[in-house]
Amino acid sequence: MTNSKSDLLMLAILGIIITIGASLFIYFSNNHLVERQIIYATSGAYFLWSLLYHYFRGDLHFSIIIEYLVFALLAVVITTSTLF
Amino acid sequence: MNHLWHLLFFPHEHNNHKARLIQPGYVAFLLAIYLLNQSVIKSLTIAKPGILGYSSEITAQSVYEQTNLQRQNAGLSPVHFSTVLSKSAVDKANDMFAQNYWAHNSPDGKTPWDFIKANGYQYSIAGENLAKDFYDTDSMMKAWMNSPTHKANIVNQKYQEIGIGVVNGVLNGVKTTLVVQHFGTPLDSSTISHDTPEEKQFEQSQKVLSQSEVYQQPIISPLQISQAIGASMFILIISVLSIDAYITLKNKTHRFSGSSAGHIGFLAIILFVLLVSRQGTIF
Repeated sequence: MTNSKSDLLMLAILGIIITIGASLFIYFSNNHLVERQIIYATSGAYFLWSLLYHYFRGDLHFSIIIEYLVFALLAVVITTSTLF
Repeated sequence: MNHLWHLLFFPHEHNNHKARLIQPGYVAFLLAIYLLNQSVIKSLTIAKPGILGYSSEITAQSVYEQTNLQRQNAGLSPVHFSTVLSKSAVDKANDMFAQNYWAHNSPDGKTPWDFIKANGYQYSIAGENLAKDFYDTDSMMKAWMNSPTHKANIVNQKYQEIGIGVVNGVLNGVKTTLVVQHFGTPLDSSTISHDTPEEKQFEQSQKVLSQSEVYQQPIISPLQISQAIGASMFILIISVLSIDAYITLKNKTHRFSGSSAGHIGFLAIILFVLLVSRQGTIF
């Protein structure tokens, strides 16, 4: 598989992960306990996805791990502290 | 100044070919600003209780009618309005405001059944649904019906009576409306009133718990403030990521960095979740 094809495949997987997360969030709206767990799970899955994505690309560097970690934290902290 | 502005929003050799606003250190800084804002909101609720809050149009009558509508849709007989259960529901809401808690059991160990029994209601089966911060009865009922445990109370064929408490007050420094549903079936079924409840009975289920004044609609909703600030930050970061991705792609810049498309997709979905979230909690 070429680089651009595998990139597209990995981005499609991420698209599926976050779409499932958003759909579950809407389905369980007003049930704050489940909503919180969905946010944690989706952000965790995003971070794991990033590790795999960059591992397969061969550029998994510490600075990149930190970058994804900060974006995942941003999502978790803002949504949980706003909504709950 | 112009240069600094440029470095914040655009990739450049002086910012390592990556806009500063999307570099981890700057994102962490934005996060700190957001948390500071949340602390200010929390402090405001302590210093000036009742300034922030959620407005509500919920009435005991609408809760009663919609509960029976759900039962009718499920092919069940309606529950009859009980003034005794309504008194226990109002007592429960008053107790949550007085002791500043949001749960089925109070901090001093009182269960929902204690409130029901204290009003002299002898039951064979009873249940409780709680809701707060909802604007209207429709969305509250929808949330209850989407929750299996709350739905199980609303469409339980064993219940014959319902009492409703809709009480406005200040909980954790924030003005809000608490809604309590008490369901029950009395041991002595001859006590059940089959009459259509009068407006006056519903009025007794509707209470205002403000220290001295008539309940006034709060001016600012804490959720809306936090949502607006959180959404602005996401929009800012997504915009800078998009600009950064475009320029990097155009200039064919090679750098070690995360996937802009991945970040944009993830943050856009989180922004969507933040915007579609409605106020209101059930328990």
